[in-house]
Amino acid sequence: MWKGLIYFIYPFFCISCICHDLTLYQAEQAGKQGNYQKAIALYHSIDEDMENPMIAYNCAVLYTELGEYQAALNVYKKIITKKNPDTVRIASLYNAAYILYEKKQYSEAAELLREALMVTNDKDVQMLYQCVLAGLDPGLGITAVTEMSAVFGQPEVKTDALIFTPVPYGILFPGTQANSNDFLDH
Amino acid sequence: MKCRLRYYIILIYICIYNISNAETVYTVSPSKITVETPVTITFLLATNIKTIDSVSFNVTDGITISEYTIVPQKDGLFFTVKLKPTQAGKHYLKNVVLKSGSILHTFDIGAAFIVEGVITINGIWNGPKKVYQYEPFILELTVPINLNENVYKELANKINKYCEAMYIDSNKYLVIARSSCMLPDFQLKITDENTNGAVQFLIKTEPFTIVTIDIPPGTDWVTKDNTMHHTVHTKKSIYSSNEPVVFDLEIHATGIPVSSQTKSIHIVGTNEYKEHLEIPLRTQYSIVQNTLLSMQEGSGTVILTGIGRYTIVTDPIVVFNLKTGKQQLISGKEIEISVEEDIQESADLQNLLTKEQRLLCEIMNTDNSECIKELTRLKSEQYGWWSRSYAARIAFALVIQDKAYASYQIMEAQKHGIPILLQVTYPTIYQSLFFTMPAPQYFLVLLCICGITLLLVIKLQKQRNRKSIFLTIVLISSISILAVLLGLAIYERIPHYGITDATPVYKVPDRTATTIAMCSTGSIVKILSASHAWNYIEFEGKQGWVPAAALVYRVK
Repeated sequence: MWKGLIYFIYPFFCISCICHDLTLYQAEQAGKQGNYQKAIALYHSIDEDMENPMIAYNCAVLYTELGEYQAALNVYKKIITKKNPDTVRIASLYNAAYILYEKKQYSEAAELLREALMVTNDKDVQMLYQCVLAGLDPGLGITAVTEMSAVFGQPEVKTDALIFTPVPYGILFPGTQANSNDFLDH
Repeated sequence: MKCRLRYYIILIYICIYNISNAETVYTVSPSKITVETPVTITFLLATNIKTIDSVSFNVTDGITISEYTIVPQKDGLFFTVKLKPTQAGKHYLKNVVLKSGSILHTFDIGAAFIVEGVITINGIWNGPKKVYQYEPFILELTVPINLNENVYKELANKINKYCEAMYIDSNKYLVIARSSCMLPDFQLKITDENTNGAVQFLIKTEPFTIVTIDIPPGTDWVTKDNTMHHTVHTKKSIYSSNEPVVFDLEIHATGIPVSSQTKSIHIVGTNEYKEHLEIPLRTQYSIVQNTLLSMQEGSGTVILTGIGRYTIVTDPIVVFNLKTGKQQLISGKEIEISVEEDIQESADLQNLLTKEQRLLCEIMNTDNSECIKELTRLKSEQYGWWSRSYAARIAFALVIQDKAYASYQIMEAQKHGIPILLQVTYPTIYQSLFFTMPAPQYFLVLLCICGITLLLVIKLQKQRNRKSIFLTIVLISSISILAVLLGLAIYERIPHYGITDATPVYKVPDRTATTIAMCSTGSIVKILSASHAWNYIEFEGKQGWVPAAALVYRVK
């Protein structure tokens, strides 16, 4: 009887998995094609509460692409407060800190970056941290600001409309990043 | 017996005789008397006593008789008495007692004079030496004279500079100390009204030290015992949606609130509604039998729009019990209320709406002519082909100015109220609203598959063997599955509509996001994607997100 039940349930399980993956694929394609709203809607249809860190992170990046920095920040903070894989946490910390840095909220940004630097020695994170420190106290991190300028362009060129450039942590579609094995688990 | 009676009569006679002959005319000099100033009192005692063995004067305390002279006169004895006051105040020479033989003659004089000056009165505090912080205790002032209530109240004001003090009655104060303190020696000068200000009292109190024992940090209340009442209540247990829910918070105990001037209230609904309110509290104190009773009251209002059950609960209170000397947590009693559908939106009303126009008008109890006019207009101008019930509902919604309900009924009427004949006659209008056919390629592929399958079926039918029958069944099943898939594809493409309340349309599903449009009450939006909390919609050609709660009706 149990065997029969398993045979009965198994096709539904397979169909559900296929549908889930298809929606993820659709969302990925929509994001890549610049149809951010559609991508967000598809991600929401899979995981409305943003429990999956990958979906939450991708949504946050899509929010930033649409210029909704505060909404993105809310999602990043949600990811940070939960126990998530290091990669996604570091990326979220970095991106959230970047938004705060551009908003000139240096102390909060520094706090996030300190948390990131506890688990990574990433050069970009270190550079952003130096920039944030320079923002906090202009006497600090001058060298790093120059280095940062070399990577991101002249600081004075940036305007509020162009504040977000998620380098190097862009959208983490499954399989698109070399170190994104953690996300595949989800 | 007779002898004894006579003796008493004689005694009474003597007394009456002596009293009746008492001379009360006296002179006092000087007119202004201060302490240590010699005072001379003269008076004529009308008496016929010839021999005097001894004389004694009855005077008030604070006076000493320095000397006296008695000069016999024709009509009595003339007394000159010299006194020396040692204390300020009102003094009397009450009477003079003359002893003549074995008989004592008492003569009331009643000579009064005032000695100007200040009388010093020492007061002693009686109270516990060691108390807990915020522990109310009784402090008693012992003074040798009776003081006016105003004096005690003035002293209370002086104590209030060092700790909280309330005058209770008699000579008692209820004192609350926030920390260790020392009451210094207070000096209070009061004038004696009986002497027209000639005499003043200087009340001097001794210093008194209050040592406090610290209570644990985070304490909200300090209570004498564990009789604390902590309740939150509403007037009703059932409310209709959009009706303000007024709740009252009450905390009272034999003790005193220490810190909180506000109280947190949490409202949790079964519909995942959560709200946190800070209620400002008013504190009232009363003293009953030397015990301090404190009461904190506050009230708040919340409008619960969602239907469901709600639990209202307050934050627990951290109480320090003076009896046990321990801190304890006292939780407030939870109350439950339920919010039900407003009668205007309830199913009952919808049932009523399906009835005849005349009945509707009667139920509405409004201007019938207005309703009938609206109905006539709707039927003749716009919605002539719809069924009567839809027209009635739309008219009713318009008359009561419920735009959302009117829009909903219009949508429902458009979808379900149009007869099939009209749907077939005007397919473009109907389909563009409620159906979107799959792409033509989809149909072509399906037709090809069906065509090939049918050809195979016909070919297999000619063979008429067991294998061919089996294949035929498989092919027919395949066609059925394809037909189901086609149906599902069409169903998937049926757009859903929603009727919104007044709500902003956000760019992304977050309340902090940019507002791209504003939906007014009754706006019809196309639902592109729906979930529990947010709906992805299309409104006025713009795509955005609205909270799911903002969609009051849905047309599927």
